[in-house]
Amino acid sequence: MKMVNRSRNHWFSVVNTIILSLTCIICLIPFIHIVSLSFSDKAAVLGGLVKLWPVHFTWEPYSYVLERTAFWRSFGMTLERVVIGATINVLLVILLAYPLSKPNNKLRFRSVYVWIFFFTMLFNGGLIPNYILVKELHMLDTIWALVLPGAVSVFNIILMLNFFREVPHELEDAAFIDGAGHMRTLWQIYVPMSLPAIATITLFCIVGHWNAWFDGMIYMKGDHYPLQTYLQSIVIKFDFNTMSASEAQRLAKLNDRSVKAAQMIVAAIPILLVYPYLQKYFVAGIRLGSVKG
Amino acid sequence: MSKGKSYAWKRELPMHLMLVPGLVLLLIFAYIPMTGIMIAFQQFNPVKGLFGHQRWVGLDNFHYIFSMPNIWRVVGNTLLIASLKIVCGMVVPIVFALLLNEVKNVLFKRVTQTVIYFPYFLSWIILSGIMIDILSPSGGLVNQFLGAFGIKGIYFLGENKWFPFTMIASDVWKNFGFNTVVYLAAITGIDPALYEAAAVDGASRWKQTWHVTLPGMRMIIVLLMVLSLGNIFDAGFDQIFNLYSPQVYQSGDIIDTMVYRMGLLQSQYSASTAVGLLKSGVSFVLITSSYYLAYRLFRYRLF
Amino acid sequence: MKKRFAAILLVFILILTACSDQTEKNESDSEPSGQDQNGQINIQFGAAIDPNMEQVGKLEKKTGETLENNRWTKLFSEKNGVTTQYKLMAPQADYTQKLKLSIASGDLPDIFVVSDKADLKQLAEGGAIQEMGPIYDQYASPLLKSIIEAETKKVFDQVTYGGKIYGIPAKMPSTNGYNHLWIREDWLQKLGLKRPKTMDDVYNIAVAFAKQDPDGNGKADTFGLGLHKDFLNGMKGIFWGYKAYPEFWYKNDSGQIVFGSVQPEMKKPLELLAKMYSEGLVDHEFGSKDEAKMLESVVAGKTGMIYAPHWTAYSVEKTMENDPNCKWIVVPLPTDGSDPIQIPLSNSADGAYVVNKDFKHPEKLVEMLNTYVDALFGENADFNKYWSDGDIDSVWAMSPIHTLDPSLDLKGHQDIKKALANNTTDQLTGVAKGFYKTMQDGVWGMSMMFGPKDTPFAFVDQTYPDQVIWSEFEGAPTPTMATNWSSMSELLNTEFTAMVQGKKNLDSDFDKMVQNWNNLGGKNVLEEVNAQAINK
Repeated sequence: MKMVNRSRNHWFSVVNTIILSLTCIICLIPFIHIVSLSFSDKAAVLGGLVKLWPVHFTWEPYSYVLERTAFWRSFGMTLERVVIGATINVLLVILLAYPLSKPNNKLRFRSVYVWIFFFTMLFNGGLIPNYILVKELHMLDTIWALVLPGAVSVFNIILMLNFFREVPHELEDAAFIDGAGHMRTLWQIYVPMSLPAIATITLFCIVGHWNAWFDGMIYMKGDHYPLQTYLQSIVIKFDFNTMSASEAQRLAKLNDRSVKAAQMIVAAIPILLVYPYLQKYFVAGIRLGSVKG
Repeated sequence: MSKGKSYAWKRELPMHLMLVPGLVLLLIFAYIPMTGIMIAFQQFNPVKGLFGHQRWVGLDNFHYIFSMPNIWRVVGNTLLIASLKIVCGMVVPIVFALLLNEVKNVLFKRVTQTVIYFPYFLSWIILSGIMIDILSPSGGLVNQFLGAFGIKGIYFLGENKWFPFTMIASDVWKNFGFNTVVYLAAITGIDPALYEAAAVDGASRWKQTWHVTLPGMRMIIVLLMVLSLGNIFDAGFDQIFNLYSPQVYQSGDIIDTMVYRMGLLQSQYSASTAVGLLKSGVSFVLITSSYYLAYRLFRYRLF
Repeated sequence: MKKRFAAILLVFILILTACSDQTEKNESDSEPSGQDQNGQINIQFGAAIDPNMEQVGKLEKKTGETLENNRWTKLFSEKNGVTTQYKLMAPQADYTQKLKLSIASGDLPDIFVVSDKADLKQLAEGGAIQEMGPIYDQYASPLLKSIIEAETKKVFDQVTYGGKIYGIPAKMPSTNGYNHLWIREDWLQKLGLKRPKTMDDVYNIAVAFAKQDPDGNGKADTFGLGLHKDFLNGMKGIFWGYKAYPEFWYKNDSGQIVFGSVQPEMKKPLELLAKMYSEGLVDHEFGSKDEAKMLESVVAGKTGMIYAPHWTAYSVEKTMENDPNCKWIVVPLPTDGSDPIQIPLSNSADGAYVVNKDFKHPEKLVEMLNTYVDALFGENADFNKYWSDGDIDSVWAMSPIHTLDPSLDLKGHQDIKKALANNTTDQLTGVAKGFYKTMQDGVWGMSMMFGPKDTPFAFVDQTYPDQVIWSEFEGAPTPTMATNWSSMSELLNTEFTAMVQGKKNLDSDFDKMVQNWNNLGGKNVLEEVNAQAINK
């Protein structure tokens, strides 16, 4: 009986591994394609000859990118934005999710607060008033225009407060008996117990800032573009309906897709490195969980 | 009595203070700009400014939207594509989180986890070029694969019956790795003692998944389901805009792409604000009612 | 515990004040615009320049020049007493968006470029910009006038509202609007074919290119003609051969202004495309491929005939790297009859320069434009200095304002042709010298565009301006257009694609489509456009 069970398990894990590996391959294809483009000769790329392996291998696109000051300038802008922005995001999420995770009888006006937060998830004033506001606050063309308007992420707060609710009440009660206040309970009990959740939300915030491009285009001058706004402006799609002839002409001239591909790869590397790093905390979470039991 | 009350207040006060920075930021950056919603009821002339003497037109902008030819077809496309994206976008990551959770090899687990979120970082502008190649009916990878099973070349991006499903599948493919992260975090949070107890009772892996893992994720699943209802009108502008063409307008044109084409000629601030307001309103009703439903039926308090 | 709270709040306050500090400093750095300082006037410009453009970085490395401080801004400072600053600066597509927000927030630059006609209309009618007509008349130098009005005086139609001229067009060569027939001559020779003269020839060549294996690999993997989903805009030349002028407003024989896309002349070229489609001469996936995607098959050596603008040279030149024997030529556009071809053109401009209503020196704009054209095209011009710097060939665009002689490209071609014939290429000056040098440097694309024979500009030289018909409508969208045009275009695009694919019948469905188009608002638009033309 036990043998049957084991072999069934074995079969499952083989099938499982195959399914997951296939999925990985499917997810890697576009990436491999772009890497191949970035190591290929211009003409081969423009001819659509490059599929999943470089044609006429060359380092040239990369050496070109290395010398591209505009690329590195926007790269720096994005790093600054991610560090400042994600720090503020995560601090606020923790700070706001804690009181909101309490039941209504432990926090007066809780439902009022919840509505105030929830409402902003769905309704917004649109582009023009936001722009005017940022302008009036003298934040145009500064890093704060990219960081503050989205500082409170209600989606992440809701996610976080649900994780906070899973923290056993006994621990909190014990802390109170020891004379700890809410602030200490939050930092010394809730935060360490929710590390996987915090790691997840940190990842969301970092990726959110890394990928954001629209606000950069709206609020920043062209030479202060963050990375994704810059990338957006170089991979622009040719559109017969909106483009002037001279713009089309300029684009045709600069049509160098291997260099674009190289810039995308360089731009993606840092963010791809963040995830494995944060994975450490998922594991840390398990250990704490076992202490809890 | 009154002393007890003030004591409770004092205990609670830090929590209210914790909310202050967030509330202030929201007031400034969310509520003040909401005055802009009035644009939906004006014939907005940007030169006059937001608080200038704009002409009020009542519900004219809404009438205009609903008098557009094909509006209902476009709404239908949007709802179909968006709702299927929501459903598949929930189910696939859950399945993958469960499958990943069964993997014993830590390295394989980590690599898989990292790799499946790669597509998330590529924009649709870039992906669209690749997809046209991969999905080409004559020589694309997908059709070559299907051809091995004797299926004739399918024009995924050019036929109305295939286009919406191509959008849904590719969207799920792009995003599922990322959502998997949330579910994995939820699984990690489950108390291992529960598994041990189940194992002692002789439950198989499958039974453990069914009776321990899934119930442990229940909260997050319901939560994300309710929240994703807010996207019921978001069929994905970037994706569809980069992949559609006149031949698939019939099944692929969505509200956002229509508004975009509308705005090309004249800056239609008012009409697009009105569309946005309608979208928000409907999502709001849907989310609140599903929230109450979840509360009534399962006693879940999501937020 | 409370201390920690206070600390967090403090951090927030610090952040908020820090950011306001920073901007205040920024603002005190820059002088308020329009203020005199050593007799100089500070002007805040809005320009659609991409500061991340490769050439900007190259120039800075080479000479230390930046966008706000370079040979152009120095020239404007010396000649016009103007200090250049940018309030708005972004790549074209982003600039349009940013300008819209600038307009709505009432925070406009002093002098800026507007390319969206609907924006221009709102600015003019809302009184946010100044009337420029009289100032232009008073201050513009004869050279500037000759350049801006070189093609037709209609160039001001784009900037005229209520009978007043509100801006000065940034003139560009209208020859950009040409569409050319590019053919692989090596394929023609291989298959023993002659260059096409008529549309029947085009069809026969397409058959041969698709069926007779011109690339000689033994596989039927070539296309007869490159076709893509924007064929209505991107492949106009095939329509012109049948006297059909899609997406173009022109006067018909009875003096009415009509819209080309819905005229019966459209049927024949569409029929040709449909025939090619049904016979497998064109890519059956054209409906989901844009021009760039179509060009991939060109560069890969699978397509040997395309209708495309002259700058496609930059793409087709790459074919040579994949197939060294290939030879691309441009032939005069074939027609279906004996009448000479007619080229429908719109006045090409990079938008128009306008002046903020609060700016006190509107004449500075015209004076700067005088300086600009003088430096490039005047008697004492220093073309080489102001046009390019070595391989950095867009120095001319690194100025806050620009306007080009519309015959620039054509003259370059003519001069080179003459010099080559007389063996005097060392005496070339101005544009031609620059062009010729780039050709000598081995930039194939340049030779393919401006070379003496079988090039786009050889064809332009034959036909421009005698065989050109100018657009009759270039103003802002009319009221009906503003609300209905997108659904009207959608109808046409969908139907035309379906007709080429054979899903719709040309004979019966074309008229139905026109009927629908009229009902959707076409009739009103025609009336509005004709009324506007009479009022002008």
